[in-house]
Amino acid sequence: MTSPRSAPDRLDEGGDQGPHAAPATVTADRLSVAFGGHPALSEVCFALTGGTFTGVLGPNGAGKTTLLRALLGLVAATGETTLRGRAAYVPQLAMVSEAFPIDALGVVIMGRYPRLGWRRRPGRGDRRLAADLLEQVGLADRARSPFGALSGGQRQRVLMARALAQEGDVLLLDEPLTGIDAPSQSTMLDVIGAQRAQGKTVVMTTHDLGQAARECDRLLLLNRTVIGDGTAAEVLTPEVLGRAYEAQVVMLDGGAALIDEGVHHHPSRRGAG
Amino acid sequence: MLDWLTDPWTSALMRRAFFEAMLVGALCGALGCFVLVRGLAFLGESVAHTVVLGVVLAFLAGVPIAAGAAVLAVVTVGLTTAIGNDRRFSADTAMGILLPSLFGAGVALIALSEGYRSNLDDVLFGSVLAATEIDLALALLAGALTAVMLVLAGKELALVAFDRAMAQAMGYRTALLDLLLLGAVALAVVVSLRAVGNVLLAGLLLGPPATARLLCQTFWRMLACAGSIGVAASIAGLYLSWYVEVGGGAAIVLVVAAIFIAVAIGVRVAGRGGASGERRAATDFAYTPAYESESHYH
Repeated sequence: MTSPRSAPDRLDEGGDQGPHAAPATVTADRLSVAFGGHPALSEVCFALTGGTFTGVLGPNGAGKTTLLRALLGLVAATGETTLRGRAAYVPQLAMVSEAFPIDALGVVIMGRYPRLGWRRRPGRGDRRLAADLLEQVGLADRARSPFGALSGGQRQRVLMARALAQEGDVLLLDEPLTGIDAPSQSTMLDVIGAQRAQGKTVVMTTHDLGQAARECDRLLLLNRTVIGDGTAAEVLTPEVLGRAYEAQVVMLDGGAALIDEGVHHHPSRRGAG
Repeated sequence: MLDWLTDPWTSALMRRAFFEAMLVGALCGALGCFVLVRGLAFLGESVAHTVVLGVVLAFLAGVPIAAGAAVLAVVTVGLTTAIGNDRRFSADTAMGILLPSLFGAGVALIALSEGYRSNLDDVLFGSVLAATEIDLALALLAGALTAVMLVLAGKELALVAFDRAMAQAMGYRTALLDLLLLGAVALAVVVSLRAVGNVLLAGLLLGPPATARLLCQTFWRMLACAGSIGVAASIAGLYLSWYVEVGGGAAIVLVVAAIFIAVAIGVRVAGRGGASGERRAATDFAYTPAYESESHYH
Protein backbone atom coordinates (compact mmCIF):
# COMPACT_ATOMS: atom_id res chain seq x y z
CA MET A 1 0.00 0.00 0.00
CA THR A 2 2.84 2.40 0.65
CA SER A 3 5.39 1.56 -2.02
CA PRO A 4 4.62 2.56 -5.57
CA ARG A 5 4.15 -0.18 -8.08
CA SER A 6 7.18 -0.63 -10.24
CA ALA A 7 6.64 0.33 -13.83
CA PRO A 8 6.26 -2.63 -16.16
CA ASP A 9 9.31 -3.54 -18.22
CA ARG A 10 9.67 -1.91 -21.56
CA LEU A 11 7.44 -3.48 -24.11
CA ASP A 12 8.85 -5.84 -26.74
CA GLU A 13 12.47 -4.88 -27.29
CA GLY A 14 13.73 -3.28 -30.43
CA GLY A 15 10.95 -3.69 -32.88
CA ASP A 16 8.10 -1.58 -33.88
CA GLN A 17 5.94 -1.39 -30.74
CA GLY A 18 2.60 -2.48 -32.11
CA PRO A 19 -0.17 -1.48 -29.72
CA HIS A 20 -1.47 -5.04 -29.67
CA ALA A 21 1.82 -6.73 -28.81
CA ALA A 22 1.80 -6.18 -25.03
CA PRO A 23 -0.92 -7.27 -22.58
CA ALA A 24 -3.73 -4.76 -22.26
CA THR A 25 -3.88 -2.51 -19.18
CA VAL A 26 -7.19 -0.80 -19.91
CA THR A 27 -10.01 -2.53 -21.75
CA ALA A 28 -13.66 -1.96 -22.48
CA ASP A 29 -15.86 -4.71 -23.85
CA ARG A 30 -19.35 -3.77 -25.03
CA LEU A 31 -19.38 -0.94 -22.46
CA SER A 32 -22.73 0.85 -22.38
CA VAL A 33 -23.92 3.69 -20.15
CA ALA A 34 -27.34 5.34 -20.10
CA PHE A 35 -28.52 8.40 -18.17
CA GLY A 36 -32.25 8.43 -17.52
CA GLY A 37 -32.98 6.16 -20.48
CA HIS A 38 -30.79 8.15 -22.88
CA PRO A 39 -27.74 6.26 -24.11
CA ALA A 40 -24.48 8.08 -23.39
CA LEU A 41 -22.23 5.24 -24.53
CA SER A 42 -23.17 2.07 -26.32
CA GLU A 43 -21.18 -1.07 -27.06
CA VAL A 44 -17.79 0.58 -26.68
CA CYS A 45 -14.88 -1.83 -27.20
CA PHE A 46 -11.12 -1.20 -27.09
CA ALA A 47 -7.94 -2.41 -25.44
CA LEU A 48 -5.02 -0.16 -24.48
CA THR A 49 -1.52 -1.20 -23.47
CA GLY A 50 1.11 0.24 -21.15
CA GLY A 51 3.53 2.82 -22.50
CA THR A 52 1.00 4.35 -24.85
CA PHE A 53 -0.69 7.75 -25.08
CA THR A 54 -4.25 7.59 -26.39
CA GLY A 55 -6.35 10.59 -27.41
CA VAL A 56 -10.11 10.28 -27.03
CA LEU A 57 -11.81 12.55 -29.57
CA GLY A 58 -15.36 13.38 -30.50
CA PRO A 59 -17.97 16.13 -30.56
CA ASN A 60 -19.60 17.61 -27.45
CA GLY A 61 -21.85 15.03 -25.83
CA ALA A 62 -19.98 12.17 -27.50
CA GLY A 63 -19.41 10.53 -24.11
CA LYS A 64 -15.71 11.30 -23.64
CA THR A 65 -15.94 12.27 -19.97
CA THR A 66 -18.46 9.48 -19.37
CA LEU A 67 -15.97 6.99 -20.79
CA LEU A 68 -13.31 8.08 -18.28
CA ARG A 69 -15.83 7.97 -15.44
CA ALA A 70 -16.98 4.51 -16.51
CA LEU A 71 -13.36 3.28 -16.51
CA LEU A 72 -13.06 4.63 -12.94
CA GLY A 73 -16.24 2.82 -11.98
CA LEU A 74 -18.12 6.02 -11.14
CA VAL A 75 -21.16 5.52 -13.37
CA ALA A 76 -23.50 2.57 -13.65
CA ALA A 77 -22.52 0.69 -16.79
CA THR A 78 -23.18 -2.59 -18.55
CA GLY A 79 -20.51 -4.60 -20.31
CA GLU A 80 -16.99 -5.10 -19.03
CA THR A 81 -14.16 -2.75 -18.20
CA THR A 82 -10.79 -3.65 -16.77
CA LEU A 83 -8.14 -1.33 -15.43
CA ARG A 84 -4.92 -2.96 -14.30
CA GLY A 85 -3.11 -1.24 -11.47
CA ARG A 86 -3.94 2.04 -9.83
CA ALA A 87 -5.74 4.81 -11.71
CA ALA A 88 -4.83 8.50 -11.39
CA TYR A 89 -7.32 11.05 -12.61
CA VAL A 90 -7.28 14.68 -13.68
CA PRO A 91 -10.83 16.07 -13.79
CA GLN A 92 -11.81 18.96 -16.02
CA LEU A 93 -10.42 22.19 -14.61
CA ALA A 94 -13.88 23.72 -14.47
CA MET A 95 -14.97 21.05 -11.96
CA VAL A 96 -12.45 22.17 -9.35
CA SER A 97 -13.33 24.95 -6.88
CA GLU A 98 -11.36 28.17 -7.25
CA ALA A 99 -12.83 29.68 -4.09
CA PHE A 100 -11.56 26.98 -1.71
CA PRO A 101 -8.66 28.24 0.41
CA ILE A 102 -5.69 26.04 -0.44
CA ASP A 103 -2.23 26.58 -1.90
CA ALA A 104 -0.66 24.73 -4.83
CA LEU A 105 1.36 22.41 -2.58
CA GLY A 106 -1.75 21.51 -0.59
CA VAL A 107 -3.55 20.51 -3.79
CA VAL A 108 -0.73 18.18 -4.81
CA ILE A 109 -0.62 16.64 -1.32
CA MET A 110 -4.29 15.71 -1.75
CA GLY A 111 -3.11 13.12 -4.27
CA ARG A 112 -1.59 11.24 -1.31
CA TYR A 113 -4.82 10.97 0.71
CA PRO A 114 -5.92 7.49 -0.44
CA ARG A 115 -2.55 6.08 0.65
CA LEU A 116 -2.75 7.77 4.04
CA GLY A 117 -6.10 6.35 5.05
CA TRP A 118 -8.64 8.06 7.23
CA ARG A 119 -6.85 9.24 10.32
CA ARG A 120 -3.27 9.78 9.17
CA ARG A 121 -2.08 13.19 8.05
CA PRO A 122 0.39 13.92 5.27
CA GLY A 123 3.96 13.69 6.52
CA ARG A 124 7.34 15.06 5.55
CA GLY A 125 7.74 12.47 2.78
CA ASP A 126 4.43 13.41 1.22
CA ARG A 127 5.34 17.10 1.32
CA ARG A 128 8.73 16.47 -0.26
CA LEU A 129 7.21 14.35 -3.03
CA ALA A 130 4.60 17.04 -3.69
CA ALA A 131 7.28 19.74 -3.88
CA ASP A 132 9.29 17.61 -6.34
CA LEU A 133 6.22 17.11 -8.51
CA LEU A 134 5.48 20.84 -8.53
CA GLU A 135 9.03 21.34 -9.76
CA GLN A 136 8.43 18.78 -12.53
CA VAL A 137 5.49 20.83 -13.80
CA GLY A 138 7.53 24.04 -13.54
CA LEU A 139 5.77 25.52 -10.52
CA ALA A 140 8.37 25.14 -7.77
CA ASP A 141 8.15 28.87 -7.03
CA ARG A 142 4.35 28.80 -6.75
CA ALA A 143 4.06 26.16 -4.01
CA ARG A 144 2.62 28.63 -1.50
CA SER A 145 0.44 30.56 -3.95
CA PRO A 146 -3.31 30.24 -3.51
CA PHE A 147 -4.67 27.78 -6.07
CA GLY A 148 -7.43 30.21 -7.06
CA ALA A 149 -4.88 32.92 -7.83
CA LEU A 150 -3.00 30.83 -10.42
CA SER A 151 -3.67 31.11 -14.14
CA GLY A 152 -5.72 28.39 -15.87
CA GLY A 153 -2.60 26.76 -17.27
CA GLN A 154 -0.89 26.81 -13.89
CA ARG A 155 -3.94 25.32 -12.17
CA GLN A 156 -4.05 22.56 -14.76
CA ARG A 157 -0.37 21.79 -14.13
CA VAL A 158 -1.02 21.63 -10.38
CA LEU A 159 -3.81 19.09 -11.01
CA MET A 160 -1.40 17.10 -13.17
CA ALA A 161 1.14 17.09 -10.33
CA ARG A 162 -1.62 15.89 -7.98
CA ALA A 163 -2.39 13.01 -10.35
CA LEU A 164 1.32 12.10 -10.39
CA ALA A 165 1.29 12.13 -6.58
CA GLN A 166 -1.16 9.23 -6.78
CA GLU A 167 1.61 7.19 -8.44
CA GLY A 168 -0.89 5.46 -10.65
CA ASP A 169 -0.25 3.02 -13.49
CA VAL A 170 -3.04 4.45 -15.61
CA LEU A 171 -3.48 8.22 -16.09
CA LEU A 172 -6.94 9.36 -17.11
CA LEU A 173 -6.90 13.03 -18.14
CA ASP A 174 -10.11 14.91 -18.93
CA GLU A 175 -9.34 17.74 -21.36
CA PRO A 176 -6.02 18.62 -19.73
CA LEU A 177 -4.96 20.86 -22.62
CA THR A 178 -8.21 22.70 -23.29
CA GLY A 179 -8.11 26.46 -22.85
CA ILE A 180 -4.63 26.72 -21.35
CA ASP A 181 -1.62 28.73 -22.51
CA ALA A 182 0.98 27.31 -24.91
CA PRO A 183 3.86 27.00 -22.39
CA SER A 184 1.58 25.10 -20.01
CA GLN A 185 0.48 22.80 -22.84
CA SER A 186 4.06 22.03 -23.71
CA THR A 187 4.94 21.30 -20.05
CA MET A 188 1.92 19.01 -19.76
CA LEU A 189 2.93 17.15 -22.94
CA ASP A 190 6.49 16.74 -21.62
CA VAL A 191 5.16 15.24 -18.38
CA ILE A 192 2.84 12.92 -20.30
CA GLY A 193 5.75 11.83 -22.50
CA ALA A 194 7.82 10.99 -19.42
CA GLN A 195 4.96 8.95 -17.94
CA ARG A 196 4.53 7.05 -21.21
CA ALA A 197 8.26 6.32 -21.27
CA GLN A 198 7.91 4.80 -17.78
CA GLY A 199 5.35 2.35 -19.16
CA LYS A 200 2.26 4.14 -17.88
CA THR A 201 -0.96 4.04 -19.85
CA VAL A 202 -2.09 7.60 -20.60
CA VAL A 203 -5.61 8.39 -21.84
CA MET A 204 -6.61 11.98 -22.61
CA THR A 205 -9.85 13.47 -23.89
CA THR A 206 -9.47 16.46 -26.21
CA HIS A 207 -11.21 18.57 -28.82
CA ASP A 208 -8.01 19.44 -30.67
CA LEU A 209 -7.72 16.96 -33.56
CA GLY A 210 -4.47 18.42 -34.90
CA GLN A 211 -2.72 18.33 -31.54
CA ALA A 212 -3.99 14.81 -30.83
CA ALA A 213 -2.71 13.69 -34.24
CA ARG A 214 0.75 15.11 -33.47
CA GLU A 215 1.10 13.93 -29.87
CA CYS A 216 -0.86 10.71 -29.39
CA ASP A 217 0.13 7.17 -30.42
CA ARG A 218 -3.42 6.24 -30.93
CA LEU A 219 -6.73 7.98 -31.43
CA LEU A 220 -10.14 6.80 -30.30
CA LEU A 221 -12.86 8.70 -32.13
CA LEU A 222 -16.08 8.57 -30.17
CA ASN A 223 -19.66 9.50 -30.77
CA ARG A 224 -21.53 7.43 -28.19
CA THR A 225 -19.79 4.44 -29.70
CA VAL A 226 -16.35 3.93 -31.23
CA ILE A 227 -16.35 5.47 -34.71
CA GLY A 228 -12.63 5.19 -35.33
CA ASP A 229 -9.74 3.52 -33.51
CA GLY A 230 -6.14 3.57 -34.69
CA THR A 231 -3.35 5.89 -35.76
CA ALA A 232 -4.01 9.45 -36.89
CA ALA A 233 -3.67 8.38 -40.53
CA GLU A 234 -6.34 5.73 -40.04
CA VAL A 235 -8.79 7.79 -38.00
CA LEU A 236 -8.49 11.35 -39.28
CA THR A 237 -9.97 10.81 -42.70
CA PRO A 238 -12.87 12.91 -43.99
CA GLU A 239 -15.02 9.81 -44.16
CA VAL A 240 -14.47 8.68 -40.54
CA LEU A 241 -14.56 12.23 -39.14
CA GLY A 242 -17.75 12.96 -41.04
CA ARG A 243 -19.42 10.00 -39.38
CA ALA A 244 -18.27 11.09 -35.92
CA TYR A 245 -19.12 14.76 -36.17
CA GLU A 246 -22.14 14.44 -38.43
CA ALA A 247 -20.85 17.60 -40.06
CA GLN A 248 -18.92 18.90 -43.02
CA VAL A 249 -15.24 18.00 -42.82
CA VAL A 250 -12.59 19.68 -44.94
CA MET A 251 -9.08 18.23 -44.84
CA LEU A 252 -6.34 20.84 -44.94
CA ASP A 253 -2.70 20.41 -45.95
CA GLY A 254 -0.68 18.44 -43.43
CA GLY A 255 -3.61 16.38 -42.20
CA ALA A 256 -5.43 19.08 -40.26
CA ALA A 257 -9.18 18.91 -40.37
CA LEU A 258 -11.65 21.75 -40.43
CA ILE A 259 -14.97 20.77 -38.99
CA ASP A 260 -18.01 22.95 -39.52
CA GLU A 261 -19.21 22.94 -35.94
CA GLY A 262 -17.48 26.00 -34.67
CA VAL A 263 -17.72 25.48 -30.91
CA HIS A 264 -14.63 23.46 -30.08
CA HIS A 265 -11.87 25.96 -30.49
CA HIS A 266 -11.17 28.89 -28.19
CA PRO A 267 -8.34 30.78 -29.85
CA SER A 268 -8.87 33.82 -27.63
CA ARG A 269 -8.10 31.77 -24.52
CA ARG A 270 -4.92 30.32 -25.95
CA GLY A 271 -2.70 33.37 -25.77
CA ALA A 272 0.86 32.95 -24.56
CA GLY A 273 1.12 33.00 -20.77
CA MET B 1 -9.38 48.56 38.52
CA LEU B 2 -10.12 45.57 36.35
CA ASP B 3 -13.43 45.10 38.10
CA TRP B 4 -15.29 45.69 34.89
CA LEU B 5 -13.56 42.61 33.45
CA THR B 6 -14.25 40.30 36.37
CA ASP B 7 -17.66 41.65 37.28
CA PRO B 8 -19.74 39.56 34.86
CA TRP B 9 -17.98 36.37 36.00
CA THR B 10 -19.21 36.81 39.59
CA SER B 11 -22.68 35.70 38.53
CA ALA B 12 -23.16 31.93 38.25
CA LEU B 13 -25.72 32.53 35.54
CA MET B 14 -23.23 34.54 33.51
CA ARG B 15 -20.45 31.99 34.01
CA ARG B 16 -22.63 29.31 32.53
CA ALA B 17 -23.65 31.67 29.73
CA PHE B 18 -19.99 32.36 28.96
CA PHE B 19 -19.16 28.67 28.65
CA GLU B 20 -22.24 27.95 26.58
CA ALA B 21 -21.57 30.85 24.20
CA MET B 22 -17.87 30.02 23.83
CA LEU B 23 -18.62 26.40 22.99
CA VAL B 24 -21.28 27.35 20.49
CA GLY B 25 -19.06 30.07 19.01
CA ALA B 26 -16.18 27.65 18.42
CA LEU B 27 -18.48 24.95 17.03
CA CYS B 28 -20.37 27.24 14.66
CA GLY B 29 -17.18 28.97 13.54
CA ALA B 30 -15.43 25.71 12.67
CA LEU B 31 -18.36 23.95 10.99
CA GLY B 32 -19.41 27.19 9.29
CA CYS B 33 -16.16 26.96 7.28
CA PHE B 34 -17.48 23.83 5.60
CA VAL B 35 -20.86 25.50 5.10
CA LEU B 36 -19.10 28.46 3.47
CA VAL B 37 -16.76 26.57 1.11
CA ARG B 38 -19.52 24.15 0.11
CA GLY B 39 -21.90 27.02 -0.68
CA LEU B 40 -24.46 25.71 1.81
CA ALA B 41 -25.18 29.03 3.54
CA PHE B 42 -28.86 29.03 2.68
CA LEU B 43 -29.21 25.41 3.83
CA GLY B 44 -27.75 26.33 7.22
CA GLU B 45 -30.15 29.26 7.49
CA SER B 46 -32.99 27.02 6.37
CA VAL B 47 -32.28 24.29 8.94
CA ALA B 48 -31.94 26.89 11.69
CA HIS B 49 -35.56 27.88 11.08
CA THR B 50 -37.25 24.59 10.35
CA VAL B 51 -35.91 22.93 13.53
CA VAL B 52 -38.24 25.25 15.48
CA LEU B 53 -41.12 23.03 14.41
CA GLY B 54 -39.19 20.03 15.73
CA VAL B 55 -38.54 21.78 19.04
CA VAL B 56 -42.22 22.55 19.56
CA LEU B 57 -43.41 19.11 18.43
CA ALA B 58 -40.90 17.43 20.75
CA PHE B 59 -42.07 19.57 23.65
CA LEU B 60 -45.72 18.74 23.00
CA ALA B 61 -44.91 15.02 22.61
CA GLY B 62 -42.81 15.02 25.76
CA VAL B 63 -39.63 13.75 24.08
CA PRO B 64 -36.19 15.42 24.29
CA ILE B 65 -36.19 18.70 22.36
CA ALA B 66 -32.87 17.92 20.65
CA ALA B 67 -34.38 14.75 19.17
CA GLY B 68 -37.27 16.68 17.64
CA ALA B 69 -34.91 19.30 16.24
CA ALA B 70 -32.66 16.63 14.77
CA VAL B 71 -35.61 14.95 13.05
CA LEU B 72 -36.67 18.24 11.44
CA ALA B 73 -33.07 18.92 10.38
CA VAL B 74 -32.97 15.55 8.60
CA VAL B 75 -36.42 16.17 7.05
CA THR B 76 -35.28 19.58 5.79
CA VAL B 77 -32.10 18.24 4.22
CA GLY B 78 -33.96 15.26 2.72
CA LEU B 79 -36.77 17.32 1.22
CA THR B 80 -34.33 19.93 -0.08
CA THR B 81 -32.36 17.21 -1.85
CA ALA B 82 -35.53 15.58 -3.20
CA ILE B 83 -37.00 18.81 -4.59
CA GLY B 84 -33.60 20.07 -5.76
CA ASN B 85 -33.08 16.86 -7.74
CA ASP B 86 -35.98 17.84 -9.97
CA ARG B 87 -34.28 19.56 -12.90
CA ARG B 88 -36.95 22.25 -13.03
CA PHE B 89 -36.03 23.60 -9.57
CA SER B 90 -32.81 24.59 -7.83
CA ALA B 91 -32.02 23.74 -4.22
CA ASP B 92 -32.57 27.43 -3.44
CA THR B 93 -36.16 27.13 -4.61
CA ALA B 94 -36.65 24.05 -2.46
CA MET B 95 -35.39 25.89 0.61
CA GLY B 96 -37.43 28.95 -0.27
CA ILE B 97 -40.53 26.80 -0.02
CA LEU B 98 -39.50 24.67 2.97
CA LEU B 99 -38.09 27.38 5.24
CA PRO B 100 -41.21 29.55 5.58
CA SER B 101 -43.70 26.69 5.57
CA LEU B 102 -42.03 24.54 8.23
CA PHE B 103 -40.99 27.57 10.28
CA GLY B 104 -44.49 28.99 9.94
CA ALA B 105 -45.95 25.73 11.20
CA GLY B 106 -43.64 25.92 14.20
CA VAL B 107 -44.61 29.51 15.01
CA ALA B 108 -48.30 28.66 14.64
CA LEU B 109 -47.94 25.70 17.00
CA ILE B 110 -46.23 27.88 19.60
CA ALA B 111 -49.13 30.33 19.41
CA LEU B 112 -51.69 27.54 19.77
CA SER B 113 -50.04 25.58 22.58
CA GLU B 114 -50.46 27.40 25.87
CA GLY B 115 -48.33 24.86 27.69
CA TYR B 116 -45.19 25.75 25.81
CA ARG B 117 -43.16 27.44 28.48
CA SER B 118 -40.50 29.00 26.30
CA ASN B 119 -41.80 32.14 24.67
CA LEU B 120 -41.40 32.94 21.00
CA ASP B 121 -38.69 35.53 21.62
CA ASP B 122 -36.43 32.89 23.16
CA VAL B 123 -36.81 30.66 20.12
CA LEU B 124 -36.13 33.50 17.71
CA PHE B 125 -33.33 35.31 19.49
CA GLY B 126 -31.98 32.84 22.04
CA SER B 127 -31.65 33.22 25.79
CA VAL B 128 -28.11 32.35 26.69
CA LEU B 129 -28.62 33.41 30.32
CA ALA B 130 -31.20 30.64 30.64
CA ALA B 131 -28.69 27.97 29.58
CA THR B 132 -29.00 24.91 31.79
CA GLU B 133 -26.47 22.23 32.73
CA ILE B 134 -28.14 20.06 30.10
CA ASP B 135 -27.68 22.71 27.41
CA LEU B 136 -24.04 22.95 28.36
CA ALA B 137 -23.60 19.17 28.30
CA LEU B 138 -25.26 18.94 24.87
CA ALA B 139 -22.97 21.66 23.47
CA LEU B 140 -19.95 19.84 24.91
CA LEU B 141 -21.11 16.57 23.36
CA ALA B 142 -21.65 18.21 19.96
CA GLY B 143 -18.20 19.78 20.20
CA ALA B 144 -16.57 16.46 21.07
CA LEU B 145 -18.35 14.61 18.24
CA THR B 146 -17.34 17.31 15.77
CA ALA B 147 -13.73 17.16 16.96
CA VAL B 148 -13.71 13.38 16.47
CA MET B 149 -15.18 13.81 12.99
CA LEU B 150 -12.54 16.36 12.03
CA VAL B 151 -9.69 14.17 13.30
CA LEU B 152 -10.97 11.07 11.49
CA ALA B 153 -12.29 12.54 8.24
CA GLY B 154 -11.36 16.23 8.18
CA LYS B 155 -9.02 16.00 5.21
CA GLU B 156 -11.49 13.87 3.27
CA LEU B 157 -14.30 16.37 3.94
CA ALA B 158 -12.01 19.15 2.72
CA LEU B 159 -11.17 17.15 -0.42
CA VAL B 160 -14.87 16.72 -1.24
CA ALA B 161 -15.40 20.47 -0.81
CA PHE B 162 -12.48 21.28 -3.08
CA ASP B 163 -12.84 18.67 -5.82
CA ARG B 164 -15.77 16.29 -5.65
CA ALA B 165 -14.95 14.52 -8.94
CA MET B 166 -11.46 13.72 -7.68
CA ALA B 167 -12.75 12.45 -4.35
CA GLN B 168 -15.07 10.08 -6.19
CA ALA B 169 -12.31 8.94 -8.52
CA MET B 170 -10.15 8.18 -5.48
CA GLY B 171 -12.88 5.87 -4.23
CA TYR B 172 -14.34 7.97 -1.43
CA ARG B 173 -18.05 7.58 -0.72
CA THR B 174 -18.91 11.23 -1.19
CA ALA B 175 -22.61 10.77 -0.41
CA LEU B 176 -21.72 9.34 3.01
CA LEU B 177 -19.27 12.16 3.67
CA ASP B 178 -21.99 14.68 2.73
CA LEU B 179 -24.37 13.02 5.16
CA LEU B 180 -21.75 13.14 7.91
CA LEU B 181 -21.14 16.85 7.33
CA LEU B 182 -24.83 17.73 7.16
CA GLY B 183 -25.46 15.74 10.34
CA ALA B 184 -22.72 17.65 12.14
CA VAL B 185 -24.06 21.01 10.91
CA ALA B 186 -27.60 20.06 11.96
CA LEU B 187 -26.32 19.08 15.40
CA ALA B 188 -24.43 22.36 15.74
CA VAL B 189 -27.54 24.29 14.75
CA VAL B 190 -29.66 22.46 17.30
CA VAL B 191 -27.31 23.01 20.24
CA SER B 192 -26.76 26.65 19.24
CA LEU B 193 -30.44 27.63 19.36
CA ARG B 194 -30.28 28.19 23.12
CA ALA B 195 -27.48 30.72 22.81
CA VAL B 196 -28.42 32.77 19.77
CA GLY B 197 -31.86 31.63 18.57
CA ASN B 198 -32.68 30.72 15.01
CA VAL B 199 -32.94 34.18 13.47
CA LEU B 200 -29.45 35.19 14.61
CA LEU B 201 -27.80 31.81 14.15
CA ALA B 202 -26.75 32.36 10.53
CA GLY B 203 -24.63 35.29 11.74
CA LEU B 204 -22.62 33.05 14.05
CA LEU B 205 -22.45 30.21 11.50
CA LEU B 206 -21.24 32.36 8.56
CA GLY B 207 -19.74 35.56 10.00
CA PRO B 208 -16.60 34.07 11.59
CA PRO B 209 -15.81 31.83 8.56
CA ALA B 210 -16.29 34.75 6.15
CA THR B 211 -13.94 36.87 8.27
CA ALA B 212 -11.43 34.02 8.46
CA ARG B 213 -11.56 33.58 4.68
CA LEU B 214 -10.37 37.17 4.32
CA LEU B 215 -7.39 36.45 6.53
CA CYS B 216 -6.38 32.87 5.68
CA GLN B 217 -5.29 31.08 2.54
CA THR B 218 -5.40 27.50 3.70
CA PHE B 219 -8.46 25.69 4.96
CA TRP B 220 -7.08 24.49 8.30
CA ARG B 221 -5.94 27.97 9.23
CA MET B 222 -9.34 29.29 8.23
CA LEU B 223 -10.97 26.69 10.48
CA ALA B 224 -8.82 27.60 13.49
CA CYS B 225 -9.24 31.31 12.81
CA ALA B 226 -13.04 31.09 12.47
CA GLY B 227 -13.33 29.03 15.67
CA SER B 228 -11.25 31.62 17.53
CA ILE B 229 -13.31 34.50 16.17
CA GLY B 230 -16.46 32.65 17.25
CA VAL B 231 -15.12 32.31 20.81
CA ALA B 232 -13.85 35.89 20.96
CA ALA B 233 -17.12 37.30 19.65
CA SER B 234 -19.07 35.25 22.18
CA ILE B 235 -17.04 36.60 25.08
CA ALA B 236 -17.12 40.19 23.85
CA GLY B 237 -20.81 39.89 23.06
CA LEU B 238 -21.66 38.77 26.59
CA TYR B 239 -19.69 41.67 28.09
CA LEU B 240 -21.63 43.99 25.81
CA SER B 241 -24.84 42.33 26.87
CA TRP B 242 -23.92 42.70 30.56
CA TYR B 243 -23.11 46.40 30.40
CA VAL B 244 -25.49 47.66 27.73
CA GLU B 245 -28.29 45.31 28.73
CA VAL B 246 -29.14 43.93 25.32
CA GLY B 247 -29.88 40.29 24.55
CA GLY B 248 -26.85 37.98 24.57
CA GLY B 249 -27.54 36.49 21.14
CA ALA B 250 -28.00 39.88 19.50
CA ALA B 251 -24.85 41.26 21.15
CA ILE B 252 -22.75 38.27 20.02
CA VAL B 253 -23.93 38.51 16.41
CA LEU B 254 -23.35 42.29 16.43
CA VAL B 255 -19.76 41.74 17.55
CA VAL B 256 -19.33 39.11 14.78
CA ALA B 257 -20.55 41.64 12.23
CA ALA B 258 -18.29 44.38 13.63
CA ILE B 259 -15.24 42.08 13.41
CA PHE B 260 -16.11 41.19 9.82
CA ILE B 261 -16.49 44.84 8.79
CA ALA B 262 -13.27 45.86 10.55
CA VAL B 263 -11.29 43.02 8.93
CA ALA B 264 -12.79 43.63 5.49
CA ILE B 265 -11.83 47.31 5.66
CA GLY B 266 -8.44 46.52 7.17
CA VAL B 267 -7.58 44.00 4.47
CA ARG B 268 -8.62 46.40 1.76
CA VAL B 269 -6.69 49.31 3.24
CA ALA B 270 -3.61 47.14 3.71
CA GLY B 271 -4.00 46.34 0.03
CA ARG B 272 -2.80 42.79 0.29
CA GLY B 273 -3.49 39.54 2.05
CA GLY B 274 -6.43 37.20 2.03
CA ALA B 275 -9.08 37.40 -0.63
CA SER B 276 -8.11 40.80 -1.98
CA GLY B 277 -4.57 39.53 -2.48
CA GLU B 278 -5.97 36.53 -4.34
CA ARG B 279 -8.06 38.78 -6.52
CA ARG B 280 -5.03 40.85 -7.44
CA ALA B 281 -2.76 37.87 -7.83
CA ALA B 282 -4.86 36.60 -10.73
CA THR B 283 -3.44 39.44 -12.80
CA ASP B 284 -0.25 40.19 -10.90
CA PHE B 285 2.21 37.49 -11.85
CA ALA B 286 4.88 38.51 -9.34
CA TYR B 287 2.64 38.13 -6.30
CA THR B 288 3.97 35.86 -3.57
CA PRO B 289 2.34 35.67 -0.15
CA ALA B 290 5.25 36.35 2.18
CA TYR B 291 3.27 35.62 5.31
CA GLU B 292 2.49 32.03 4.29
CA SER B 293 5.99 30.72 4.61
CA GLU B 294 6.10 28.09 7.33
CA SER B 295 4.60 24.67 6.80
CA HIS B 296 1.25 23.99 8.35
CA TYR B 297 -0.18 20.81 6.94
CA HIS B 298 -1.92 18.75 9.56
